[in-house]
Order: sequence, then structure tokens, then C-alpha cells
Amino acid sequence: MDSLMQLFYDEANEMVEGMEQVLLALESGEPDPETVNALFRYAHSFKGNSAAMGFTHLSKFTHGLESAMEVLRKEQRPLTPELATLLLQAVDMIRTLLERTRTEGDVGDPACDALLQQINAVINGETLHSPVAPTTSTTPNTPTSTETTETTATEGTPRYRVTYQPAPTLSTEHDPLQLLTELQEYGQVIECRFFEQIPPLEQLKIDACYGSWELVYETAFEPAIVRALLELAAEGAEVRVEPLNASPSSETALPTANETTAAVPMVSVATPPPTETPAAAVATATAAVNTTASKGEAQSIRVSTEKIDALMNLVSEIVIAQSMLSSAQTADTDERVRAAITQMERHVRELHERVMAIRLLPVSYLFNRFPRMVRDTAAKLGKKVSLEIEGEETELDRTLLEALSDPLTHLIRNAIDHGIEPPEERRQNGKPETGTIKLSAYQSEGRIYIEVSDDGRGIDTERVRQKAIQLGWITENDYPSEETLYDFIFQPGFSTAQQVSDLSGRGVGMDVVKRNVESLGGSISVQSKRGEGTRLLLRVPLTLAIMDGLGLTVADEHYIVPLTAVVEVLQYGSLKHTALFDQYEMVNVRGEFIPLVRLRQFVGLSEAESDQDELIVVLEQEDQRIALLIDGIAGQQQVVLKSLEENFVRVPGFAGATILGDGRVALILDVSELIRRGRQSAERHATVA
Amino acid sequence: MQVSLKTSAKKHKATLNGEIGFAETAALYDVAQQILQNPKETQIDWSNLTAIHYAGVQVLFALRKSLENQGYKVQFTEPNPQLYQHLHTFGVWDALIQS
Amino acid sequence: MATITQSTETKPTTEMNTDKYLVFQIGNETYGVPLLQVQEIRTYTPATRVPNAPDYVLGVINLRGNIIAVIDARTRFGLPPLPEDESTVVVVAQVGGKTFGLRLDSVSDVMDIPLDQVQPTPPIASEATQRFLSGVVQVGERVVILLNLREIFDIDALSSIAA
Repeated sequence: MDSLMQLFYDEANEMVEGMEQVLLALESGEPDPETVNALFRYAHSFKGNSAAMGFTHLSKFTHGLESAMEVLRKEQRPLTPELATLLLQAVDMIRTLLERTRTEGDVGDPACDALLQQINAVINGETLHSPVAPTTSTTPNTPTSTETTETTATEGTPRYRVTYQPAPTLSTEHDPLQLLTELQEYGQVIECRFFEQIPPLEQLKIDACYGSWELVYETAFEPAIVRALLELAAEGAEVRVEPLNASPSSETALPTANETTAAVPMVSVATPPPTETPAAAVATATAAVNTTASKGEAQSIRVSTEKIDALMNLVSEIVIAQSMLSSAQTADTDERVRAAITQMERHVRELHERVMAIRLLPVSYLFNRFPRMVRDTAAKLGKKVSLEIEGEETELDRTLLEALSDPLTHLIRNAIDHGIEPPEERRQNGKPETGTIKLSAYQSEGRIYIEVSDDGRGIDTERVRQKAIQLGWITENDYPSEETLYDFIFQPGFSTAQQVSDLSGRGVGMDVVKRNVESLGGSISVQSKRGEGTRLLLRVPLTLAIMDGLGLTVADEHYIVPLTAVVEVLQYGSLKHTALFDQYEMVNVRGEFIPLVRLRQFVGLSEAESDQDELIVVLEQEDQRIALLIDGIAGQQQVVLKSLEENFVRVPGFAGATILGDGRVALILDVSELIRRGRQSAERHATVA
Repeated sequence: MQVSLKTSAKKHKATLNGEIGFAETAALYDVAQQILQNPKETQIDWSNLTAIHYAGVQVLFALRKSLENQGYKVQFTEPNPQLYQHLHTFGVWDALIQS
Repeated sequence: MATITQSTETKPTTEMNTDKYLVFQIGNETYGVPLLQVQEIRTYTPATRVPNAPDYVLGVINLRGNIIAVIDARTRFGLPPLPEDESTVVVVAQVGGKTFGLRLDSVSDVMDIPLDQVQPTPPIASEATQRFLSGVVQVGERVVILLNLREIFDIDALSSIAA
């Protein structure tokens, strides 16, 4: 697929998402005019882009939708749930058609017209009376069409000087006059000057554009709309939009030039013939927009993910090379070389951070699909659920975002399916009929936390225990701690019959969710209270690829542990330790007993001869600690996390591997697993004690 | 037929009807060329023209310039209100009509 | 006794259906793998041990920034491993979208194997190793046993160490 096509689909998907978001926001009762404007912007851009790509059916359908919504806005009809559902269906239709265009080209669907009819019928409370004239690019909007300009004549409607140099090639889709005319749907052209360098006929190329325009344009919409409208039909247009004084009374004359001018003081456009002076054009109540004086448009560009990935890989390799250089230093290394290496280390670190930041996207990209999903799922299951989202500006590496999509979807579906009770049950229990699911994201200690919590029925630990007994994991007489029981839920094979419903089934059990999250270097934990609700916490590293690591040695093997998990390093010999049944060991660190895990044992090596010079590394994660017994420390270094699964398999207990300065591979320990090992030990200790 | 040409001894009369989209611009161009091959005073009757693609506008511009270079005048009839609106708002009308 | 077609690399092989194979010794036998699956041949460097992996997995190595596993051919075939020397090599192959290495005592050369001469492997090996073999062919004086790399690498079996 060529890049123009790809660009079209990228943007198209964004626009469709945007439309959906707005509709959902409108439905939940937040009809702020800016939101409504955004909706029209999206629909309008999408319509134009589709037309430019030759997808006329898609474009026409969008146009029909746009017009219907225009009526809604102007007439201030309420957005009833029935209507909202229809409009969302229309968005779905657009999505489907969009996908189909990839293989079928300009494809339409007979259901489109029917849907439009329905929508219009609901809006107008009568049989079809579509105010829409199908657009062809050569038909100007006639003054009598209902697509009248919404002119806001309230003082302070912002004005802009727009310079428009159309793309050099004209075509059926690219008609600069037509594009300019569309501006009038969103604002007023106060003044306009046309500049031409049209040659005599003998030298004229029919499809070349020899004209440009300068205009003063007044609009309550964001100025970006000007760009959107004028740039949509063809690539290569040059559009400049500068804000002018917002006061309608000030004379904003265009600079005189040698060219023909058509400076018209005031143009009354698209209003019914008689007397309205534009300045007094009727402003409907909703049009009293508190205009955000044009926000500085944040400049951004699109970059293909391949380029970013290539850049990231390169930076990773530089980090490795730099650490090789660092470790190649000896006592004899020249001072200047040392200094240079230190400086380079600093720069490489910063380079890494900045490049990583490029890959960061706000988590809203991930969360955006959930309001719709929650709405539909709740409706399907006959439950009332409201979704609260917090911290959506929290940023996350884009690969993580993609990877978290499935797990989160499953968790939320689960919460709706099993967590939130049906409305009657909730009422009986004194809860509000509408359950709440809260999705929040925040950053802490170099990690990203994502919480999915609900105020539903909570986890029935007794049921879990029974199931575990059934599966033979424990006996009737075992009463494991809550934490252990919760752990069971994440083990493969656990999914209760309850969970294998048509919605949250499909073989996506909690164990898969856990595995997915862990393969990202993260972890998942759960808290719950019977009758009150459940809280799932996902933890993922902020930076996927590079981290600071501490080298640990046992025998002649070298392992890495993330520096963020390291609390301190102590001499084993100096600490008091106890061992229950010679098996479950603990050490006493300043009065606190911490479970001991022997790294030798963890990696399958035989015990050392004596414990004399061994060290303890205290590791901590989410307030849980263990003491890891090792032979020695091998120094700190920046470490590039490499996947074991790419060419091998996931190895339990290890989060991945890395390449050391000397080219050897070192495995990176999975701290969650170490802690789990320690906790088992602690539990035994506690139970018996 | 969107573009038709009637020639008399003294002048050309080109009649433009309906809508001249990008596809029809070529036909307009041909008629303009015809006129230039036999330059005379020219009248453009577009009273029944409701829409014209900018490319067509350029052709008219170019025709006018060519004819004027040879000393002939081009006269445009009264446009219908739709067309006027369309061309006027964006400064094209005045530019085209002025002589 | 099947007719033996003398096929050497210098003879034009347009009429016959042959494929190039990388050929090597394991113990006393000659084995071959399709050259197309072979990415490169490297001298052996010590691999990093992977805890809890089966004994035939020597460990993982760094292949230009990628972590790949190295399997010892002798161990895989149930033979005791030999200490490495200068001729020990790792054949890097691609199978099922993954890259891995196979450690061998040495590599002989590249041969043209006439595909239509390949016979099914007689049941000489143990059940476990039988599946590693995909045929037998006589080329000149030599008997070459063709290997099935997918079975040798067997990513599915390895995945179970993740349980």
C-alpha cells in the first residue's frame, strides 16, 4: 500500500475514533459546543478525504450523517438514547465500509440509505425529509440549501487572515473555489482577494492552478478547520492561518497589491435573500460559543513506526557499544579517554531518554475504545455500568499500549460480566443501580500503574478455594491466605465455568492476561472485598527497552537485576538468620524479618561450599521484600532488555536477557517471581509459627 | 451540451449551460481555441450556467487575455445569482469582469 | 539396489531435481540439512546457560544483538557430547520464524542431493530420534541422512519449560 493510502487510512481511523468519542461524550450529557464542533470537523475532514481517495459511497454516507447532525445541532433536538444508538451504528457502518475499501475499492452498502432514513426520521419525528443534496465537487452550496452558515456575530468571534495557495494540479476532486465555498459552512468570509497569474490560452494548461487567495475569515471553530478544509482535496496546498483581532468592528484591510482585488466590505453568504446584515445574523443559543482564541496549534508530524523502531534499535546498540567501551577501561586508560567516555555516557543516556519519549503515547489512546465497549457490553448483558477514566494523559511506550489492549479489554469485560451485579441485585443490596468501573493510570517509581476497579460483588474466596480443591491443588483442610487464593485465579486451568461465557471466554483466561503482562516485564495483582468490589492492578515498566541493572554473580554465572528493585546490599554473615525445618529461611534486617531466596537454588546450581563471603541483596517491589543470597556483585550498568521469546521461549523466573559489555549474554531476573518464591517461604513460616 | 458556439461575421457567442465540471473543461477549452483561431469580439452567455469548476474559470480568463492581446473584447452576460455568489465571494468575478 | 546417479556439483543438474544441502558428521554418520534453511556458520562461542532447560539446550548466545538458543546435536541424538575444539561450529538456521543454532563437531561441505533418490528412513533409530530424520539418500559413496530441523528444534516441546 503506498504511503498516501496508508496516510489516508491512518487519518481516517483517527477521525472515525474521534467521531465515536464525541458521540459518547454527548450521550453522557456533556454537550459543550467545542465537542460538537469537533464532531463536525471530523466528519467533514473524513468526508473530504474519502472523496479525494475516490470512495464516493463512503463520502456520501458521511455527508448524509453530517447533515443529519447539523439539523440536530441547529434545531437543538435532544440526543435521545435511541438516536445515539443509531448514530453509533452509523459510525460502525463507516468503519466497516472503510475496512472494505481496502480490498473492494469504492464500495457502498444498501443498508446505508436505510440507516440514514431512520436517523433522519427520528430527528425530525416524521418520514424522510433529508435536507441533503448529494455533493459533487462542482456544485456550489446553493444559498437555499439548509447548510446555512452558522454565523456567530457575538463580539469577539475570532478572525483570521488566511493565505491559500492551492495544490498545483486541478482535478475533479480538487476545485479551489469549491473548497473555499465550504469555508462558509463554518464561518464567514469577510474579505477576499484573488491573485492570478493565468497565462494566455495558448500557454494554458487546463489542469494547472494559476491562482491563489487571501482572505479575512471569521469563525468560531478552531482555525485548524481552515487547514482541514482547504488541504483535503489535494496534497501540496499551502495554507497559512494567522489570527487577527477578534473585534468585528475593526477594519482589517488586506494589504494592497498590484493584483486585482475583490475587497468586499462584507459578504452576506448563504442567508435567505432579504435584509439580514451579517453583523446581525442570528446567533442561536448554542452558538454563543466562548471562543477559545485560537490555541497555538501544536505542531506535529507523522512518522512511520518503522522509522522510530529503527531509531530505537540504533540507540539500543549505541548503549551497548558505549557500555562495552566503559568496561574496556583499565587503570592505564588515558585520563582524556576516561573523561570522554564519562561524557558520552551522559549524552547516550539523554539520547536514550529522548528517543524513548518519542515512543511514548498518552494512555488515552488505549482507553478511548473502552467507553463504547462498556456501553455495548453492559447493554448486552442487561447491566448498568458507568465507566470512569482517570489519568489518561499518563504516557506509555506505544508497544506497551498495543500489548495491553487485549488484557485490559478482558479485565474490563470480566468486571462487567462477573463483577457488576444486575440492577435489581444491586438495589437489593443497597447499592446504586448503576455500577461503576474505574480505569486509572498513573506513574510511580519508574513504572506505570493501571488500575481496573469495580464496585461489584467482589471475589468469592470460598468459591475459589473450592475450585482449587476440585482441581487438586489443595486439600479440604487447607485454608490458604487470601493472596494465595487470588494467585490461583491466575493459574492456567482455573477458569471457572462462570468465566467461560461467550463474552469473556474465547480461551482468554486470567492466566493469559497475567502471562501477557509479565512478558512485558510487568505484573498483575488483585485485591477484593466480598460485596464491595474488586481492584486489579497492572504494573508495567516505563521504558521497555533500556534499564539500569545490577550484576549479580553465583559461581561463574552472571545475572542482572533491575536497579529500581534494589534496596540495599549487605553482608550475609553479619545478619541473623533463621531457617524453619532447615528449609524456609529468613534474615533479620534491622529488626525486620525478610524471606531469603538463594539465587543458586533459583537458577538450578548446587549449593556453595561455605556461606562465608556471601552477600545479600534486598529487593523490593510494591512493598514486598526479599533477601537474595548471592556470591558477589558485578557492578552497575545500563542494560538493554532483549526478549528471550523472540527466538526461544519464555523462561519462567527471567524477564529477558541482555548482552554484556564483553558480548556475553546475561539473563535478567524476574523480580516478581523472586518475591513470589520468598512469599511462599514466608507463608509457611507464618502458618506454622 | 454545456458549451456551444455560434459565430457570425462580427462576433462569437459562446453559450455555457448547466454545470461545467473538471471533465467538461476540456470541451470549454476546445471552444475557446476555436474562437482564437478566428478571433472576433466575443460574448460569453452564461446566464444558464449554475456551476463551473475553477479550471473552467481559468480557461475563460485565458481566453479573455488572448483575445485582448489581439485587440478584441470579451463581454460576459449577466450571470445567474448562484454563479455570481460563487464567483463573487472569492474575488473571481471582479477579476474576470474588469477590463 | 537403486541406481546411483553420479551427481557432483560440477555437473549441470537441470534435468534432475536436486537441492543443495549442508552436510556434516555426527559420530560416524553423515547428515544433511537444506542449505536454504541455513543462515550462517559460526565458530562456537560458549553459551549462557538457561536454567531448567533440557540438557540438549546448551544455552543462549548473542547473534548480532539477537538472543538465540544453541542446541547440541550430539546430545539431541542421545550421544555423549564431545569437548569443543577448533573445528566445533554452530550452524545458524531458521525454522518456523525463529532462529537457532546447532552445535556440530565439524562441517563437511555443500552437496547437491537428488530429491527423487531420497528414500524414507528405515526404522533404525529409537522412536525419539526417528522423528529428527526425514529421509536417506545415497550420493556417490556416501549415505546421507537428511534431518528435519523443525523436529530437532521443536519449539513446542521447549515451550513446556514455561509451565
